[in-house]
Amino acid sequence: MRSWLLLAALLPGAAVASTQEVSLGTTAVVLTNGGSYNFPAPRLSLEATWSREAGSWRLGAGVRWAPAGRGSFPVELYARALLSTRLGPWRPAVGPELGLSGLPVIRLPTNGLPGDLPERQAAQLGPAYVALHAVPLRFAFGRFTASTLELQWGTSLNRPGSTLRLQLGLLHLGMTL
Amino acid sequence: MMLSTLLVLSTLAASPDPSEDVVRDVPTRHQLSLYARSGATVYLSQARTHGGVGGGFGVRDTVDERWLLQADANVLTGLGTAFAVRVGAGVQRRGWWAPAALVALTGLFGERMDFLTPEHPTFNGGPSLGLGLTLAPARFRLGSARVSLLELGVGVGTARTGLGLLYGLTVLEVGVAL
Amino acid sequence: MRLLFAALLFLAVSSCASRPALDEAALSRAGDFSAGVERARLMADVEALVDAHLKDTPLDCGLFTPSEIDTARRPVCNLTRERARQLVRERFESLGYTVTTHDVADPRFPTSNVIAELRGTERPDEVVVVGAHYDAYFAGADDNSSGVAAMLELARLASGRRFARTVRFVGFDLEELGLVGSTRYVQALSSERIVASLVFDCIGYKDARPGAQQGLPGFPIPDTGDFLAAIANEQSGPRLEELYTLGSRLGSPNLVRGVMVPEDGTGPATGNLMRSDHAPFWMAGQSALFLTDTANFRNPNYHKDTDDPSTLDPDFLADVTRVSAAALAFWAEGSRP
Repeated sequence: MRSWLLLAALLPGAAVASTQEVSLGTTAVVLTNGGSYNFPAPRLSLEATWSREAGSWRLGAGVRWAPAGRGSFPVELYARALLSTRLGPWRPAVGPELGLSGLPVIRLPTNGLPGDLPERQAAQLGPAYVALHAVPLRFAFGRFTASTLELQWGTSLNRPGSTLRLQLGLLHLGMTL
Repeated sequence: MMLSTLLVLSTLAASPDPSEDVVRDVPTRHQLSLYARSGATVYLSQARTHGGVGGGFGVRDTVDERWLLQADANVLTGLGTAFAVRVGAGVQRRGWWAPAALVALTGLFGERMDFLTPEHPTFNGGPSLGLGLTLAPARFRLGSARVSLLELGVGVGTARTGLGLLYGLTVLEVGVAL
Repeated sequence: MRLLFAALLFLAVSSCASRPALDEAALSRAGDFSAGVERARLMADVEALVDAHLKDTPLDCGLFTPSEIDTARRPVCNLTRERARQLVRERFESLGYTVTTHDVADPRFPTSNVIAELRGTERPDEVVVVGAHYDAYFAGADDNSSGVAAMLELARLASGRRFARTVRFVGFDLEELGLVGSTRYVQALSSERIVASLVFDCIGYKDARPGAQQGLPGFPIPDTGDFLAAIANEQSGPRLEELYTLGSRLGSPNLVRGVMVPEDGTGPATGNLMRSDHAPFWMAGQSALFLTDTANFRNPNYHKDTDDPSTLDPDFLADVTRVSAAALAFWAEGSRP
């Protein structure tokens, strides 16, 4: 028992004091406008993020690629500013994210139904979005970080409130530089 | 074993990592902090449904490490775009595990869904106001760091918009001392 | 403390309700106009439309990929429109209207919206629209022979009368395949100002038994299916208040339940309400009210071959039509002989 306590005492907190990090992860995103012409199933994507700490802020930028995300360019680019803190190895953070998404919200019919209405709806939406990103379970062990269940919700920037973006970060593994 | 324990602890004490938060037993009467939160707020009544999911920022004054005074502003989406302003006062447990209970006045502004019924035959303007209790059982502090998970709040709304219920959920709140 | 009191007082005052001011003369004209609604005529029109659908040839099933369509919800191989369109046109013509059609050519889904108009005597560029889709699955009694019958009844009452504003009746095509006719119609609209629109879709089914009405989260509606849902977006909100007040003042105080959704109506919580021909109007920034008995949230015959006239409530349909007639007369500022 005492040897485990000793080991715990040596764990970070004694992390390497580096301010930059890169991470890779997987996320699942659902985009909806509440109508019939949405993609109901979550779209899985691979994500690469760079971030650096500036005081209590964790600033970052990244790219997501959804192989089955539909659309002609299923890639997202984003930037974040998260208020973050440390409790031992636990590194939670929360803050806004701005992004550009190539994932379409509206699903044009492929079953023979006419597309007049969904085409009109799609034409009204733009690629920019704003979201609130929460990282509740991020931990640092030495130079490595692991995070799961990152929760994000947001909306399109050109018509706020007309769409809802729900994203769940499944697993992210990172390394401080 | 006792000797090795002392050696390890003395090593830690001798070379503190400046980036580490170390609990300091220096009491401060007022501790101001900035916090960011992700959550949801919804007001439900026979006359309107108001709220959504989102988050925002706030400031908190912790007095004598016990009493809490805080205010935050949030942007919500899901039912149009709404804004929530919360002002709260409460109490927390001293220590690293610091569960808290707060009484909060919440005002919801902006877009919402309104209903016309025999009891409410016209649309009422004005914000949705609610007074309620928020419980934060999974709340932790270490030095200047504050983290809270899964806070739940329930309140009642004013009669002017019809008696309503106000529900609040904070998924994650992160705070740092100013 | 004074500042807090002042703030609370401001909030209290700013949230005071303001009732729509209804001119008593206009109210009286609206009441007189709506009193002409005849229950028997409505049901006769429903029967005639249902008969037209049952005798019609459905759309070619080969246009669709049925395996990719939820045919329980959208029985696309049982969609008819031609005979109903003909009936609507002939009825408008028999009432003395000059009928036009808004036709859009399309290799797979050409559409034809049938239009009858009464030009306004004082402000003809201000238009009040009454619309209902005439295509239907199976017999289509509630969806939407009830709505078309109401539109035809309003056209009958309005024929030969004068209104300050233009009154336009539009039978929309192919609503069931995704609001096709109305989307194309709104796209082609000129810069005229639509003062108000009434869109009927499923207005004939009533079931007052507890539990007959299903709800949606966040919508405080009773569990008895004995009301008409009138749905507006922010822009149409004032029209909804007027419709509601007209209903209350003219003898149907508990008939209408109103919902006003934010912005143009699109959104995750309210997108499900964009399910009929009012939606293209909302998306284009034009005023429209969606009147419905809530369809599948109440009517178990929705999109089924059991949607026949015997399942409708004629008194309910007549009450809905009367409130709508009053609203039409109020907004169009008539009628006068």
